[in-house]
Amino acid sequence: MLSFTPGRAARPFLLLLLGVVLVSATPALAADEPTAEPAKTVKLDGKELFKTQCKTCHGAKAPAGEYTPMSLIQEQWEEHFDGPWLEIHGAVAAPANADKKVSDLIDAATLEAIRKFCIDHAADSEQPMTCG
Amino acid sequence: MKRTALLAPVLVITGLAAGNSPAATREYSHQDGYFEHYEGTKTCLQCHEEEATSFFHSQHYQWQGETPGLVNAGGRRLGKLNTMNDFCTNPLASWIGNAANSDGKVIAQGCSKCHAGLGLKPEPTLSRAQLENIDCLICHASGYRRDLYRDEAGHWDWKPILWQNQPGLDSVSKRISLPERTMCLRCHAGAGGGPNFKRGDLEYELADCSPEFDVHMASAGNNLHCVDCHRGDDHRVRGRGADLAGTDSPDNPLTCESCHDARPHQVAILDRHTDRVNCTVCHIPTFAKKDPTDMVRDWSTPQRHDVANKWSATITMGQDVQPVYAWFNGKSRVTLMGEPVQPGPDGVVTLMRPEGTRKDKAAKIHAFKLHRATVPLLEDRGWLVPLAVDEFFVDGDLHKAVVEGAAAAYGVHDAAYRWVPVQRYMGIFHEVQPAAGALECLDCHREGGRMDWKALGYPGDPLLAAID
Repeated sequence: MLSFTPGRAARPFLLLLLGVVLVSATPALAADEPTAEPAKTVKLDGKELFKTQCKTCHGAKAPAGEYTPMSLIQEQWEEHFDGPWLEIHGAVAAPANADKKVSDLIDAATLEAIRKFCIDHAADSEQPMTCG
Repeated sequence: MKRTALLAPVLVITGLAAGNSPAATREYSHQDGYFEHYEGTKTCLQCHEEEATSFFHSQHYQWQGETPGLVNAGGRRLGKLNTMNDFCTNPLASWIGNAANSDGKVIAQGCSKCHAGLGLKPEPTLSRAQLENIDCLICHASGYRRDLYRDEAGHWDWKPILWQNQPGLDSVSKRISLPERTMCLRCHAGAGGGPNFKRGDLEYELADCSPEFDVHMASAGNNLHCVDCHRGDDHRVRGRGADLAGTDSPDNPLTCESCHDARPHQVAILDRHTDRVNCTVCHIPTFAKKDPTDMVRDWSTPQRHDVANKWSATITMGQDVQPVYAWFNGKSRVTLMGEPVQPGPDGVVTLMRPEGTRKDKAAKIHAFKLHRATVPLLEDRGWLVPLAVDEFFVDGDLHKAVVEGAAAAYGVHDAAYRWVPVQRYMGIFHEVQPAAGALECLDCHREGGRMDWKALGYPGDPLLAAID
């Protein structure tokens, strides 16, 4: 069993994910507000969400470190999303809203879609991806 | 300290959750005790130098080998490295390097993408550099993936995509096994430029297919892996089909009879067929059943793909293709680079033709994919010219591709050339049907049936002749 403890090298990644959460904050906040219309089931596109949410802080040459799905193996992604992600992104202010933490701005469904995309296209998956 | 205290229980929980990942559900060797950190091939060589040496001499590394299966090789060692093929023609001019289109997207990386090395061309003489160039993990480590990187000196190398993630690389490099289906198919199903483009009967679908797709490899059936049939000693893979120039295991051939009786049907009329009809004829009625395959590749007419922002030859694809049938006695005749071609009566140059006739008692009728192409020919010498394809994919400059190909292959500059039609008979041995899906009598023995009896040397349908 692989133990992945985010070290110095991983911190930029965590910051990146925080950024992702932050970017997705707007739809997440909107989803929390009462709506008159019944909720519709919308299939979230993990690849697109990774681009719009994560790449904000974790794009090429980003100070928080560049991360793509194939930066980590599947076990590492699972470990990260199941644990350190919340701690790290709960400590980082969202780029677009300094009053909020990144983890406050990504709803569960969005995070799950990003998580699935990362695991499905991890470095040891059948289709490693950079997300474009 | 506080952070560590918080993370500890989290990691325990997530460690348990990691059992969901595909890698965690399989069993591999090298999980404990063999090495701590993977530091490239030298890590493998600490214990496996003998195995690496045997692999160095194999056709999978050398891309050429002994040629007892060719009637006109004259003892030369041949293979994809020094012969002409009718897909991307030859690796010499397109070995390694990222070719990016104007959008910056990499559209080709060179033929070395499917060489089990880390970027150096194979050399005939064993050396430390060549041993350390072997990429053991590409065939033996589940989840290992690599990409092309250029160092500061401009030198290209294949490196693990996890090269900056040592814990991840350590995990993957310890998932050692015999090659699994997906590992083999990564190259053998992806060859020729796309899924199933080249072989026709080697599709990604074989990684997890139904008995109706392939009765041997069906996950819920016989569940055979590639190595169950093709495994040989000392990295010498068994089986050359009909169109491979080199043979890795000349003394250990692979045939249907390696596993099956010569007369397996328990029906006299069917068993009598097996004297002259190879199993593939009836049991592979069609190939390319899921992914279409390249049937015709015309290099003389470049085709622009606006969406992909690239160029290619004009390729005609086929799906669920009915094989052609020809006699094959286990030997083939090759058209070699650097030798004048000998076109047939129809003007077509056959790059690889199965040997055998109706009168040759060692020959049986086999199923083939007949691939056709149009390729350049040196006008004055009559030699086939490979193309430098990678840059052509980017800029569509066909003339440059031919000129650079001629220079790489022959050292000939500014060569005059013309285009010639070529063809190759490629043995079809996969996508085998169970009895229920095999051909029936009337598929061949009727007017308009699938056999071209005259081409096979018969005056007509032998069954109809016997009845008359």
